[in-house]
Amino acid sequence: MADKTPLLKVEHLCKEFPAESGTFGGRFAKRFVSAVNDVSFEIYPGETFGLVGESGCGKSTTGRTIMHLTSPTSGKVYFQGRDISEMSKKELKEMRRDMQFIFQDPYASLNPRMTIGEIVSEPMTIHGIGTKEERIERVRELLQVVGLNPEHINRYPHEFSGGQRQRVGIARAFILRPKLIICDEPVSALDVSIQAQVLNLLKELQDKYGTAYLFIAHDLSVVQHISDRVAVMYLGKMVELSDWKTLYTEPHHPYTQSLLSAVPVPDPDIQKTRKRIILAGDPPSPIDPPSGCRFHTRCPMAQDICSKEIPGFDEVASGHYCACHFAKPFPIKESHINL
Amino acid sequence: MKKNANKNYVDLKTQPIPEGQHLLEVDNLKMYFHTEDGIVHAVDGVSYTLDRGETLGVVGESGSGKSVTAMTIMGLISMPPGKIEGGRVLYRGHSLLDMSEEEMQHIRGNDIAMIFQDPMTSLNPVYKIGKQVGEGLRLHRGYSKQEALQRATELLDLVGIPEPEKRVNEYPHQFSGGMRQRVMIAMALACDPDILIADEPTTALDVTIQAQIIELMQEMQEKNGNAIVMITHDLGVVADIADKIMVMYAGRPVEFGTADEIFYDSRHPYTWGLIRSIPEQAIDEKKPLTPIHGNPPSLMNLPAGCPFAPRCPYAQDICHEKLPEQVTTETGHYSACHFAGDMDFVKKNAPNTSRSRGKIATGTPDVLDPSVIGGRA
Repeated sequence: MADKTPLLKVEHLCKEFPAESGTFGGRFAKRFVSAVNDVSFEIYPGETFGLVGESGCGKSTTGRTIMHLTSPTSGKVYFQGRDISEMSKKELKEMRRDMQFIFQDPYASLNPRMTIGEIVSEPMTIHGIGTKEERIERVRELLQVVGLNPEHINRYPHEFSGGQRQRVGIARAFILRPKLIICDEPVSALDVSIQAQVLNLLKELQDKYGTAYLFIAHDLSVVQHISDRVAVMYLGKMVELSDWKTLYTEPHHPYTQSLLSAVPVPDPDIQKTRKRIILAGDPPSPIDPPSGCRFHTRCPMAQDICSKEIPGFDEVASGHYCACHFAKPFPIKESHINL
Repeated sequence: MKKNANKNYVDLKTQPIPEGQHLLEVDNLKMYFHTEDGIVHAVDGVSYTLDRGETLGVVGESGSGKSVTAMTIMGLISMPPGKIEGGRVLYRGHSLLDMSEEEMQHIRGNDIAMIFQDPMTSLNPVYKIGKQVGEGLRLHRGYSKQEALQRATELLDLVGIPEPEKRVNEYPHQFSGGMRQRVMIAMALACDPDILIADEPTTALDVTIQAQIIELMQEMQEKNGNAIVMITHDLGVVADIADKIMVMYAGRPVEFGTADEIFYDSRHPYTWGLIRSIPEQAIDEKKPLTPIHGNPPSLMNLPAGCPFAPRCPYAQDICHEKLPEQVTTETGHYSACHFAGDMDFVKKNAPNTSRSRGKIATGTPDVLDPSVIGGRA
């Protein structure tokens, strides 16, 4: 993070979806799903920014909105200093040369009727880069890099296993040498031994090409492993953001703490002795999110203020942000709460 | 279906376990699928024993035969294409494989119940929850509609579903994923089964909900004393819940032992590979992961010798030629590797564990202790 100018800057991003279809595609709907609410962060060149949270917390929507696959309800996204929402279609297309996407499902994200060569070279074709021969050359080179046999360039996706398909998806994302890749749950569909292969590959490619990642996942240990900085989302809100080490050793937000304590550790001794916070109930519906702090309905330490006032996303230590009324001072003690 | 079809059967779970036998004994079970493309060795020599109150964790990657083994025991595999090629399954001394379909129907749900991975698809969307939960009671116990509904309400309450009186009359789509899995557990426990087979019960759920469900299963086990077979790909989940663990690879159990033996004294390179593939909860610095190279073999043409040999970093000539025998210790811990008996080999190559490092790394940060916080009682 030596470079101080952010590659991507997200400011107060909000995304709402109409909760009822109704007339005119729900344009006059009265109820909205608040999928992403007031999310701000920055990604620097070459770093991995992890985004974790449970299903429905808005992490994927955040990724898709940044890519402008859906337009934000409000808020700004700056990529290399330029506001994405003000770009023309042509400029957006240009921008997407530098911002690519890796999808979760290696089965659904590859067209079964195209060969591996066609799939991986498609971004080049779309952007009109190189001659056919040059493209094939580049594809072969990249297949080699991601650990696939370049001789398989004319094979179809069904001939590959899940892990290999994900390598194809990675090759496709890297073919234009983008500056930022949004990885939406890239390993969650894979077995653990294959998952480790793909994570190592992503790390190698990052070292080689200096690409920044927005790494979206629900698996905390995976995110911890790959990320430089990590943000935790709950019900459309970012609740905590910090460098990976601080987040995993000194989580300030009660949600981060309970999330970390809920992950089963593959070590019976640790598992039996450690303290755990098991949250009651399910996450509330994002259609009518709870007032005040959105976590207060499940928070083991919620007070009156929590249901009334929305906590600010404040810096509690250098580079460490937390949205909780009681985040500071840390660690929280009972005496701090009886206000 | 005849109302009193089950009258002629003796309730097996009320009978004592014969001397020297176990609640469930699976002995060298083999089940192959005979398909047009060839024979799939889906279950190839699985053996284990299970007693009341115990939890067996079955770990392995997709396609390793974990679920098929459970379904074979339950008699849920259609034959053909499936075919039992050998072995025995004894439940309280009675062979499940020799039972008629009618007898099996009485076993399923009543003596051995199963929870499936996907709570979204394993409930019938057109029936009310109460009816589905009470179905087993009507079938196995001859409860009337009212009695079954009454009991279903109690069961929903037991598994922690709020407002059970109202919820019994709702449909599955009105429940969240975690709530549906609770319904599945209520359904499975309705007839107080001896054995609960849970096939990836928490894989489709979020981690905070997963923690709730695991806790619920443990609570229920303490209350009812049933045995649990927990099928999962997540070593963290088995560390949490299992007394014994069986690691499967390509249809075969490669290692079996107590949770302590598998996590701290494992002898099989595949188990080591699994443990090393998991990102460590490193606090100081990050090391690259050590994945297992290559892909699992096709169950249709398994490699000669040890099925793991092509991916094993320690494979010797013998591994590619001869199928390894199980090397068993006095405690019953076995490992199907040619070198499992060679303690120098094991010591040299086994991954470090919190025990071998001599300290328990704090896996989690210093989290809040809910008992001190006060908060809302």
